[in-house]
Amino acid sequence: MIRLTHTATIRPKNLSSELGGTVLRVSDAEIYAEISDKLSGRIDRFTALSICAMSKFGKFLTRYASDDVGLVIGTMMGGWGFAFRELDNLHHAGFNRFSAFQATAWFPAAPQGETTILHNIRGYAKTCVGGLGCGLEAMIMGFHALQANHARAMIVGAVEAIDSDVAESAYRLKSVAPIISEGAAFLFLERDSKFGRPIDIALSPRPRVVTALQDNDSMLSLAPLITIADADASPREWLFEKGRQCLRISLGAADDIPTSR
Amino acid sequence: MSEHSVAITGRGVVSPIGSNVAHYWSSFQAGRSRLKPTHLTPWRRAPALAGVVESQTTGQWRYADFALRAAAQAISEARADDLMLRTGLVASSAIGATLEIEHQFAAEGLVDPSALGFDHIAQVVSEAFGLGSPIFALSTGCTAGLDALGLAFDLISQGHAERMLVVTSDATQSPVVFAAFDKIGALSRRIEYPERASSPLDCVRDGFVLGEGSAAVFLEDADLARERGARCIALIRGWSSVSSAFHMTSMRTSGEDLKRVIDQALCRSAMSADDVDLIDIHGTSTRINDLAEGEVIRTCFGSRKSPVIVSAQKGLGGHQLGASNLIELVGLTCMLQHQYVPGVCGLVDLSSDLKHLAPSLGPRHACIRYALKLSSGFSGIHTAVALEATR
Repeated sequence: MIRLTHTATIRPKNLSSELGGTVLRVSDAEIYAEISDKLSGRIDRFTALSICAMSKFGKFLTRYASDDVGLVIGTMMGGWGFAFRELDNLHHAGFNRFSAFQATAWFPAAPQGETTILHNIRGYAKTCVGGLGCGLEAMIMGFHALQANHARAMIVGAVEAIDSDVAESAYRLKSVAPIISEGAAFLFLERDSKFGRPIDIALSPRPRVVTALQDNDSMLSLAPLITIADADASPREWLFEKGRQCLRISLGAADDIPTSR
Repeated sequence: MSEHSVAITGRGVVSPIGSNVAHYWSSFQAGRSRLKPTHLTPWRRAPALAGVVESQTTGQWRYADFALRAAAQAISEARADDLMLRTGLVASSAIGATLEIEHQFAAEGLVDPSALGFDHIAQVVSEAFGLGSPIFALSTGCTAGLDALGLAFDLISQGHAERMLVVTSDATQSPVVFAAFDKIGALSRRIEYPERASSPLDCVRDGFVLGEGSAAVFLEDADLARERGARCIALIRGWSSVSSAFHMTSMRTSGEDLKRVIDQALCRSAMSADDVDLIDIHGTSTRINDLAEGEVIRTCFGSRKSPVIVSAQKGLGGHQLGASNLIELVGLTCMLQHQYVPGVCGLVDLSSDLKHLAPSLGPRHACIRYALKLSSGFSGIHTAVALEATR
């Protein structure tokens, strides 16, 4: 049995918007509070959001051998803040001004790499990319990784950083929500835990009604993860649409002790 | 071994040394390198070298064009045109449409926002061939091709899918890509000897050469493949992937992380190190990669009576980032089919700290039943896949 034992999210607190009422951002103070100056100089907002959210799992990770923990991160766009700055440097200021950290800050897998290093996660680690469903895809991959014995515990989640006007436009192409929000949401899934809420994920034929995500639809690929993270303690079942198919996610009642221990 | 056996029934390749499997294998056998100077590094006194795909046949973004061509070949070889609705897809790329983004930025100072997502080839390939589900897209740096293959393998072996198309593609011929790797000293400067610029395990290796290309493989539940009379090119025994948690671009030269991934892949494949006849290494032509791979071959296979045979393919068309490892896996299936190993392409003088590998190197005919493909990449991932030859 696979259980959801912990959740970690970071999302905008202030619902008042900064750009014409349509984009919500997490404050810099919150994102960078626990990131060293040295590290913040070589990563972009996308990676910083991941590190910030995942830092909440630190004490739980120590229960496992580092080889037994894995990670799957989903993202619609990756991070472009660092890359656009360095494109400008390369084309206008020249190679000498070009950052040596472009090679590590620019790929979608940057948060995956930086967080595995920070938390000494040495198991299965992947980054999946896609549309609004990529947070669900990360969940599916993490769930399958546990079923296939790639790991005993998996962190699964999604990260979106609206770090430029181009990125905002890119998100608008894939989302119909009038307001879009950046943030990160992670779930901690464990294969052998006695605690937490039993969780099951199954592909399902397309149903006639798909769970509405009214309160969270601004949260892009994070929306289903935040819906699950915020679920009350009673058993729940959702049907999420993912491309041409649907995903049924069942979350049971917590056993023995609350998940928020 | 997993519950459902998984077969490779189709393959496709678009690469600097050949734009189909037959041409790729022909060049690989002959050791024909296709590396040449590029104009994309004006900051250098001497130009860098590159492995370039000669033609583009569609109006798609370059990496999507490669992917469509490789996918069409794989579907054709599998004779699976009428199975598309029952076939899922895992697509992957390390750098997506970076080439087009940089072109737009340099020409207009503006970027088409639709180019920012990294799942474009999944959309293009699934629509072009009318694929069913599930559909996933990955971006995991230089192990992206094997990671996509592994996910597709898991989906079939666990009974979640019957057939999966795996496609990976990277178009790298863009200044910002060269600059990113040049800035960290990863690119070779051996402009005077293009055919030896990418020379894994060689005493003169000094970095890799950026190549580009795509590969695709068609995977099926082996029982279903046999039922419909499909030709099983090779079986996938199992795979594993680990994270080193060490460094974003470097690796432990002790080889301990590579040993973990090999041990796990063998365990999951119900195999031992003694079973492995051939290992196709990542072979980037960097000193650190050579030391790590040399050491892991010593620790995993060094006590055997007969040496494991070693091959490497980046000396031919360069390092195609996320696409490289799936292209090389296709090359590995050719070695299994033909029971012939061309060896380590680009290698002339074995590095003095790798002398223990000497018995493993060199072209040869051999009886090869089991083979490993090894890959390492950005963000500290190591991935290994075990294949079995079919008779």
